[in-house]
Amino acid sequence: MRLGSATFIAGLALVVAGIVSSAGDPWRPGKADRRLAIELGGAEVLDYGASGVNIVVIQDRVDGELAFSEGTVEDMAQSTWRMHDNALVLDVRMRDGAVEGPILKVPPTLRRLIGDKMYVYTDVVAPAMRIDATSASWKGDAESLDVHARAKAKSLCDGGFNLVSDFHFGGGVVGTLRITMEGGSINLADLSQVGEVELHVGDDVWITLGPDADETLIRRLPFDGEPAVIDDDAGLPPYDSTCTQVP
Amino acid sequence: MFDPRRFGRLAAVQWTEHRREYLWFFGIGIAVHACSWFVLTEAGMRPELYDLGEQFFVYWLGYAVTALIFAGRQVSMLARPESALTWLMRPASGFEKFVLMLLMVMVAYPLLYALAFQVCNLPATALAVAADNAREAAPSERYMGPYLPFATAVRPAEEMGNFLIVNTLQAVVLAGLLYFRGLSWLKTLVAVFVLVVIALPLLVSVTDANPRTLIPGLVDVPGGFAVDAWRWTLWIGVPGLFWTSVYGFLRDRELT
Repeated sequence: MRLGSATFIAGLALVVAGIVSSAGDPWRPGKADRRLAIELGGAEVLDYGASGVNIVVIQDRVDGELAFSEGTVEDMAQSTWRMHDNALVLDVRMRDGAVEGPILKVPPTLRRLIGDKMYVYTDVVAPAMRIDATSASWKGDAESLDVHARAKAKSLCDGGFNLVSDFHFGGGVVGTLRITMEGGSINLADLSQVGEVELHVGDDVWITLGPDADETLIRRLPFDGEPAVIDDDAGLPPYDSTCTQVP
Repeated sequence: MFDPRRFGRLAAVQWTEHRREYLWFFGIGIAVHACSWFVLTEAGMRPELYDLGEQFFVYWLGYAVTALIFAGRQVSMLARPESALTWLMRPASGFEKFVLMLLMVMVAYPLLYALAFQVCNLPATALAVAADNAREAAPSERYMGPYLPFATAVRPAEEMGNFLIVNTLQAVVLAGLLYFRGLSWLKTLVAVFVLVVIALPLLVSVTDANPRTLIPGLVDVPGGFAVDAWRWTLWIGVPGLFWTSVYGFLRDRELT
C-alpha cells in the first residue's frame, strides 16, 4: 500500500479510536466520581448527585462567607459544565449550618451552554428567607421562547438548602436576559461582567428578555418574605425567621 | 530533498502567480463578512447586537469555510491537465511543494485571515460600542470590543479545538483533491460530507460517545495523565497522519 493511502487510513482509524474511546462512564465526570473534590477559589465541592437533579454543595472553608470573584464564577460555570450533563442546580450552604450577618453574598449566575440551549443559574441568598418556591414560566411566541424561572427558598438556619433560582432558556432565544432589582442590574448574558448581587426580602426581581430592558417579556418575581408556594411540586416546607420549621 | 534556495524560488513563483488571486480571495471574504454584519445587526439598525459572541461565531464559521476552500485551491491547478503538468514539473522536489502547501495552509492563512477579519470587525465593534453607549437604558456591561482569536480569552480550549479540527479537515480536503483524478472537487465534497455529516456522527450515536471530552481543556474528566496523553496523541496524530497522506498522494501524482 502506498504512503498516502496507508497514512490516510491510519488517520481515519485514529479518529474512530478516539471517538470510541470517549464513550462510557469514565469520560462522563459526575458519574464516575460522585465525591469529586475540586478547588474553586477556596470553596470545595463536598457532595452532589441527588437522583434526578444534580446538586453541588459548596462549602466555604475560609471565613464562613461565600463570596466569589467574577473570575471564580466563570471558573465555576466551567466546572459545573464539566461535571454534569443535565440540568444543574447549584446549592450553597454554610459550614456550620448557621448564617450570621445581614446578607450572604454568593455568585449570582452560572451559565452553561449546551448546543442551542442556554441555562442560566442564579443563586441569591438571604438568611431566614421564608419563600418556599416561586415559579414562573413563559411559552412565548416571539423567537419560539420556552422559558421558565423558578426560585426556591428555605432558611439557611437548618444548614440545608438556601434559595436557589434557576432560569432555563430554550428554543431560539436571541438577546439578553436582564435581571433588574433595586440598586442596580446585572446582565446575565455576559458572565465576565457579572458582579455580586444582594437580594433583600421585599425586593422585586424583574426578569426581562430581549436586548433592551423594556422589551417583550417581563415578569416580576415578588420576594416579599411570605411563603408563596406557586409550584406545588416544590415540596419544600416553610420556615420562619427564627429558623423553626413551621409544622 | 529540501534545498532552501530552491524552496525560496518556489515560494516566490507561487506568490507571483497567485497574489492577485489571494487578494481577491480575501477581498471577497471581507465583503461576505460585511454582509454578515449587515444581516446580524438587522440591516445595520442595531449594531450593538454584534457583540463578542457574534464575533466569535462569525470568525470561526468564516474560518472553517474559507480555510477549506483556500486549502483546496492550493491544488486546484491539478484539475486541468495543462496546468497540472506545469505545476508538477516545477523545479522543486515534492517535499518542497508539500512544505510550501503546509505553510500556506497552516501558518500563512490563519494569520492573514485573522488580520483580514479585523478589516470589517474593528469598525463594526466601534459601531457596537457607540450604539451600546447611546442607549437610554443602562449601557450593557458586556464586553463589546473586538474579538482577537487566542487573545480575547473567550473559550481558549474551544478555539484550539476549532483550529485543530479545521486543520485536520484541510488535510482531508487536500488529500481528496490529490487522490481523485476526475471531478476531484465533487468527489472530495461527497467524501467529506459522508465522513463528517453521516459516518462519524453515526459512530458517535451508536457508541454513545462524548467527543467533546477529547478536546484538551474543554471538558475536565477524571483520568489524569493518561487521558491527557491520549488526547494529545489524537490531536497531533490525526492531523499528522492526514498531512502525511497529503504528501504521499502528492508524490504519487508526481510519479504518475
